[in-house]
Amino acid sequence: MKAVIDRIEGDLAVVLIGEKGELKLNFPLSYLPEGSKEGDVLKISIERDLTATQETKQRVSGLMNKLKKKGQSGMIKD
Amino acid sequence: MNKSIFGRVLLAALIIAILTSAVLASENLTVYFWDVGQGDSELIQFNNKNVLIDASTEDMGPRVECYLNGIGVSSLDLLVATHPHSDHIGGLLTVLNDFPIRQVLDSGQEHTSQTFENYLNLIDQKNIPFEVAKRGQTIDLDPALDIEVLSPPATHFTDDALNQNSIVLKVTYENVSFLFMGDGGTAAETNLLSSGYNLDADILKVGHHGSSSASSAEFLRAVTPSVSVIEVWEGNEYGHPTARTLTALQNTGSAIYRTDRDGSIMVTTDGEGITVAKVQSRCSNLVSSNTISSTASVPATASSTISASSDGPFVASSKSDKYHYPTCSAAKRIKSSNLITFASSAEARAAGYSPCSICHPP
Repeated sequence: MKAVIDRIEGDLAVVLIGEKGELKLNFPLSYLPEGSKEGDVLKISIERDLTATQETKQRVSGLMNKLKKKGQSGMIKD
Repeated sequence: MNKSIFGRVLLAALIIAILTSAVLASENLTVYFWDVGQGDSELIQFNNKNVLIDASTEDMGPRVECYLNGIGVSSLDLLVATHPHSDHIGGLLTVLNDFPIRQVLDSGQEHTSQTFENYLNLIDQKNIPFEVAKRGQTIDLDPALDIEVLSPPATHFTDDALNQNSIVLKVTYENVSFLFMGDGGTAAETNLLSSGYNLDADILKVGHHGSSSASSAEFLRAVTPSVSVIEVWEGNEYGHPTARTLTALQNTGSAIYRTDRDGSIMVTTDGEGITVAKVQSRCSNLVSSNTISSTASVPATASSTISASSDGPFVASSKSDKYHYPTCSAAKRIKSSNLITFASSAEARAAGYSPCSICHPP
């Protein structure tokens, strides 16, 4: 995906993303490679991380089940 | 005065004070619809008990906490997380950290966001009793209040699942009902219509920030609210609320309140009438600012009479934390650019102001 650092405002890099630079995102400089400066063209790639998604789902499911088993205060009745 | 008579007078005064506060506390149900940017947060207050529904985004947590502190809430009897989206549960992380909470009611839906995982972890660490919402449950907060879970149904929705499976609550106090829709949309509404529930309500927390995915005309005809409240931020990029939703609400004859224009809204009822007030609060300056004051009254409907609360007006400075009679010497020194007006002492106190020690307002 095409991206250009339009300018630096303090600790933020204003990055214009897309063929026409239609999406503007303010990146903290700490999120960008060292030495990034105004006018740099960036390479941005986004991938779906299916492994991490699956791992997160399992972790959250485990937590939810743990909480359900702890029971409740008696205020809510079926 | 001899000691025993003095003692009896003191005791009588004490009993009267206790009885008065008990009667006052048990007579009014108050619901706050907080101004929390692009997200939802509502507080139900009755007989010294507090139920918080959602707390908007994570950056709004401190603001929700400020609102609660401002009206003297130090613990919650129930925390309701309508669904796992960050504009509803983000601010709950602050609330879970800082307030004792007796019980959490969750939608039971799982989400992969770090915000949701942090929320579950906090509930686990604090050992807060956790219950999953399902249609037909009742919440035993106070014998005078009926609270029922209308949604999600036993079989969850699969499209737009997190929103559609939002917890929907109906709260009824004598002749006045509130319907809290979360982000439930037309699928949830259609299901509710066919469920046989009486959906008629006086006050509607409009579903999904007034988007067109909710508030079907058929559903609104069944609810026929007198007052509709939309929780929304003026700068939102999603087009909320849509013109279609606003028109649909107007067609039911409902008065419409919006947190983007009106700030926080306080609805008070004694079980018969409804009072709607705009809450002036310094908390709204946390994260972003929004300053509107004054009380508005709403056209009365057959089922409820609505009046403005009446012991005011009182004034205050946005730079101070005291409220005054307009005639107070201290009030006259307030610059007009800082001047805030409250319709009642309750409104002033709800906004975090305390009585001036010169003019002693109620």
